[in-house]
Amino acid sequence: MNLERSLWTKLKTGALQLPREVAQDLPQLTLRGMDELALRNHKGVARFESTILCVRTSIGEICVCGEGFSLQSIGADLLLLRGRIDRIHRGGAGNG
Amino acid sequence: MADPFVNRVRVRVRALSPERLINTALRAGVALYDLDRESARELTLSIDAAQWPQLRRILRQLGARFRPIGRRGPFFAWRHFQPQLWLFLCLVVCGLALYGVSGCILRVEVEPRDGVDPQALLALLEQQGVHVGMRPDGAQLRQIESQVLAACPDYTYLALDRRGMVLRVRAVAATPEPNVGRQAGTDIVAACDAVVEQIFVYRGTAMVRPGDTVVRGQVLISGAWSDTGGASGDVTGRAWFSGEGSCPLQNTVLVPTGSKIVIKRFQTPWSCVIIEGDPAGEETARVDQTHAALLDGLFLGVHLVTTRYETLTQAPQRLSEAQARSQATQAAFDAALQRLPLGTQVADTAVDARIQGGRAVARVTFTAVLPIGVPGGR
Repeated sequence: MNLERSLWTKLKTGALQLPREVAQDLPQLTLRGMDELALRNHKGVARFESTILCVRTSIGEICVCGEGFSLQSIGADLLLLRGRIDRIHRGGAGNG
Repeated sequence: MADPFVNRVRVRVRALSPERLINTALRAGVALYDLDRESARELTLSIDAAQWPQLRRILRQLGARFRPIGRRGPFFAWRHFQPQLWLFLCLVVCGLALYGVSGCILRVEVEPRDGVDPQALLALLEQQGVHVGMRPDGAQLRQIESQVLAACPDYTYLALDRRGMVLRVRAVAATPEPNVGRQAGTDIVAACDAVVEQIFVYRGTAMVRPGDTVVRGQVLISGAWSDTGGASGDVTGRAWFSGEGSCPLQNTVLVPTGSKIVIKRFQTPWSCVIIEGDPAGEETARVDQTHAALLDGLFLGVHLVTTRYETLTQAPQRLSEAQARSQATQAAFDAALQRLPLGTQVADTAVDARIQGGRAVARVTFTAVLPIGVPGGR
């Protein structure tokens, strides 16, 4: 099963030349300066406070720490965060 | 930057787990905007007005307490006008009134031009449907122009030009067709004494031939037997136009005496007062105007003008015969030129100048080839 999935993924990224994040449903983070973060392919919000945002993705949870967070928009696919971003890491809020 | 043209509802939500609310809304396809975490259990968010009923349902299902705290967008804009409803209504009424009169013609102006009677033209336009209060478009105006031109041959050009609420009418009157030799129902007669050079008969019977001498009023082409009731044709003839002039050999002219007068005038916008050097009773010629000084301290148009004159006296002048003949010839030339019809080409000029009884007398005769046939009564 894993082999099939791996082959199918390789076909999509190699032969069809699809972007990797689309082919493998990976999260795509775009950081504009230190005060705006766009995150695609998220699976939902695990935690949202003014200092922390934890988002579930296909590769696990991604946490963003900072200050004055405000979700400018959040849809089924795209999440746009505003605020001073200090740190981005995988896992729970405690993981550094 | 929030889009001002999108209708949004701002809601304050109090729930046990705001994250759960966000995820439930996302799964239901509801997009959320401007989320702020107010406290551990409070969340403020914005939502498209169209999705507000859906979110309200979700919030009720989750048992969350919520309260709309603001509405924004064109759909809710009327709320801002509610306190000044009368002002809003006035604006709407003014807008409607402006729209109502914006396309209307409130005045019809006829551009003044020779041969165009504004009253008659306005009456004609009114017959074709041009009136105050109409809302014409370009195609309609062009159609009216065509109709007026077709209905009235008195105009060769007509333009209806709409300038805001004024309709400007520009018309050019038709130039009457030259009727020399073309008018039906008459004979063609000679306009002056001449020798016939060419004759073209379009209708009627030729009464003269090239080379015949005709006198003024003589029938050139007769329309008596024309079945359409008139003669028509072109007759060209050779005619002579003379003028006479004379000039005395002994003449009196004004010559300067050498003495000069300086006249100072006090000139105001209302009058002029001579304050020095009155030249009354003397023949003078102005030599120069020295200056016009603005009086000190006065800002009105008050000037002190100094003008220098030279006194003149009458003196006999003896002209030579050649000079007298030249002046007489010039006078005769001018007199003959005045008798020549406008636009006529002169084929030959004859000048006869001689001294007769102490005067030079001259006679100038132009020989011209011109149309001589004009309509004349039978």
